[in-house]
Amino acid sequence: MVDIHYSANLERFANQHLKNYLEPDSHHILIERARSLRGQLQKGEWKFLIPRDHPLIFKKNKSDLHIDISCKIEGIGKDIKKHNVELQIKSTKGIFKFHIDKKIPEKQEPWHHLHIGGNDEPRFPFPPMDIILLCEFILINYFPKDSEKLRKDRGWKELVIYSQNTFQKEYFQQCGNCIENNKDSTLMEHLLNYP
Amino acid sequence: MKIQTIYIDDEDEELRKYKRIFEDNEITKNQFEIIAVNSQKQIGDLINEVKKKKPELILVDLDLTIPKDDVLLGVSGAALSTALREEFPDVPMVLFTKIDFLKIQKFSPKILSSLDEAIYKSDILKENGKNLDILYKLAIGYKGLRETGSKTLKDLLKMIEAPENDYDSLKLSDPPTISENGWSVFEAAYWIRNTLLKYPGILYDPIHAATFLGISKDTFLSRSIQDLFTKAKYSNIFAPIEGRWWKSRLQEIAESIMDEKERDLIVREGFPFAWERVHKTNIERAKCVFCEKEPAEWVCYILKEPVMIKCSLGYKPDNRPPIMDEARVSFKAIRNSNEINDDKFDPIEHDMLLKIRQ
Repeated sequence: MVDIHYSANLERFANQHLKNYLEPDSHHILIERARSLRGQLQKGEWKFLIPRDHPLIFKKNKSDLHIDISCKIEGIGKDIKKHNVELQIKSTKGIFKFHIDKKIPEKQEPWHHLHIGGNDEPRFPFPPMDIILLCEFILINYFPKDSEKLRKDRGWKELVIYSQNTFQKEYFQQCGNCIENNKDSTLMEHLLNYP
Repeated sequence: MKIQTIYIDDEDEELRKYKRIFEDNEITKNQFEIIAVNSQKQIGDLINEVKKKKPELILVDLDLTIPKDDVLLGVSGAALSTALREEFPDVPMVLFTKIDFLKIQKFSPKILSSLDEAIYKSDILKENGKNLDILYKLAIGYKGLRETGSKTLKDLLKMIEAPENDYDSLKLSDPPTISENGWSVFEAAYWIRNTLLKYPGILYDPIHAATFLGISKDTFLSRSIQDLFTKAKYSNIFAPIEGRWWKSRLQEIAESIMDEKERDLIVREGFPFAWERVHKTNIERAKCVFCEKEPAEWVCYILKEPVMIKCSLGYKPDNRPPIMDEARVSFKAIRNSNEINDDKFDPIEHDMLLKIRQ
């Protein structure tokens, strides 16, 4: 699923596009984690962890929101065992946590799904995201003007497309195949039973 | 082979004095061959005289106002260095002058930018020969750069033995421009000395390296830790006497002794645990200079001490490339130091100064 270029892409993304939006220590942590991942990928194993204790914190935008993300992706070769990302938004109205997780095999839940806060249900089918894709989402929502500029940048776009191909292609292919070809089960059923 | 060093001054007595100092000193007598040149002649004659000596290092006095045989050069040492730079683009040039701060400061940085260094004559033997070390490494570094055959950026990165994993970051650190003939020696030297070795980010000095690893500077400089991180040390041209370490290699080596649980932590937390587990001894952490919390995350630009992000503000003291670590100053420095320049804070942070100082 992930080739060795992914760690270099993460580092490029952090240095060339994200540095202005992250708190300085968060930028350091992202670089550090990308480099750790490189060492692991060279051994064929890998683990990418942005710990909950040290999430990537975005600089405050005009709306004065605290936005942070954490992430855990673990696997051996192409076999991804864990793929969890968390987006946390704190404001004067409260704390909102969004989890995008991969299905735990023994559980009846969609292959990749979104749930809110600490609640187990409901779990909406949702495409997997990595740090790059989640950052694109955050910038579009909370830094719209900057995001517009970034989306004109070919380098930025290539990194995002690389992540889409790496993490979301299979998901959307499955959805497309199910809708095109499957007459016996619904998309929701398919995603509950896949893989 | 000694370094062919041209020393240009307008006073014969000074020329004799410093030639003797270099010749009498146990270290310098085997490193530098001082060729004293009185500046007071026509500028063309002066340049021709220097050219004949095949210089490897040029020292120029700032104040060249004393005429000799009724001839006066008519330009200052700073302006002369610009003319010399045109003629000797690949030779290091140092302003070697008496302490006279105001005069140096009144020259525009552009004029002084032809120079590689400014050293006060009275300081030449001070601080355990730190300035002599700078002079020697300047000459040797330039020589190394001159002798590099092909001059692509990759050749330069290979020459300084940069880790390949850092190539992307190095390309973002304003490296020398590459013309048809490749990089120029002067620009390459300037980039290595005034960007790469000067600003923390890709290479770290002892306090930044220690803080990155989550330990105190003294601990970092201890023999056992230094032995572990030998391969991370930058030991190439212009290496400063206090040392520099490749950050990426510090991380690789630190992670090599960390177990799986420790690797789940960030380096500044995981490495001290790993060291204590392996060596069965406690290790001193990087402690915030303001709140004393451990491990601190950053280094105070003014105090050169570890600091937590929340106990510091961003500071803009220079034009470092964005790839380098941003400068931050601790609340302690903001309260106590005379070196803080309030104009170097961003507007929002500037507004916070009053509150921090109360």
